[in-house]
Amino acid sequence: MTGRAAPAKLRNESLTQLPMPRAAAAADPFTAIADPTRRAILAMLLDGDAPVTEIAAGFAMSRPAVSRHLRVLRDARLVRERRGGEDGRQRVYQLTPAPLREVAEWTRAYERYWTRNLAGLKRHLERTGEAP
Amino acid sequence: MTTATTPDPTPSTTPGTPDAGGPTDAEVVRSTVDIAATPERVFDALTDPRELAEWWGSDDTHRARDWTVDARPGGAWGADTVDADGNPGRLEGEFRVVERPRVLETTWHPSWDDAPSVVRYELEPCDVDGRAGTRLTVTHVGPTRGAVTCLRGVRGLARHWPLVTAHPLRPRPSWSRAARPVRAR
Repeated sequence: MTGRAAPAKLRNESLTQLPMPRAAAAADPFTAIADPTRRAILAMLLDGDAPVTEIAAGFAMSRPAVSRHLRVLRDARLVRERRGGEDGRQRVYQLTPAPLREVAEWTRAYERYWTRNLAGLKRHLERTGEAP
Repeated sequence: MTTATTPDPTPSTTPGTPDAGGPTDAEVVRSTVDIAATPERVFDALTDPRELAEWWGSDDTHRARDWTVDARPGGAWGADTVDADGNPGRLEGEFRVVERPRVLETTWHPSWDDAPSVVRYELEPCDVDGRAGTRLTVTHVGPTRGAVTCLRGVRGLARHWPLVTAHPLRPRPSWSRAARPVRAR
């Protein structure tokens, strides 16, 4: 059961420092969109497909750096590359946002999880009392 | 945080809602429960492996066993899990803050999540049913710190959202499937 939704502000700075994934997580959508540059690339592609040159022009970083970000997004299947342009030889990127559903489900799942978990803790402690 | 003066028999869990200014408020789950037990007692129930085996989880989510806990900063903890469908999993993490009896903070690495997150327990003494009790608040910060909400605030993603919600989910523990479909704003 969930209570009335209310803003949940983070009061502790340490909570904003998330741990690194243990395994190579290049293919998961969470890691892919946790980076602000990659979010900006996705936002750019919301307006329509764009060739690599146009994407790179939007950022003050090297082309290899942009390419690395695009590869992470590709591995997470959030974008796909196709051939396009007038000569059909440009590399054009297209947004494929379906994997974002995994991320959106996360909050709903853990609302239920913690409600049940804490109810179980309360029952356990109030049944057994002070002495373990 | 205010001290509770009336007992709250059921946990209240609120999802984070997006803050217009910052991305860090979404994907934060906060759950609170008032327990008629002292903070020391509650803290020990959160960190003692034998007790954890007695109360953690539920038939609706999963059961956890074979707990190991090293309740120190940097200490590791973990348990083997089985969900309602009988699927095995592993839940583990490392403590970042261990301040008995008020604060416990840990990384959260379950086998069923794509990326790690952080869980923080805060224990505040309060009266519960006229007894020395504890208001326990759990804050679970999601792996992307509001990245999805940032994206959804960008004009144009709404037209993609039906495609997003139609995307098949990978197999997940039965308890983690949402009860309602996700809707775009």
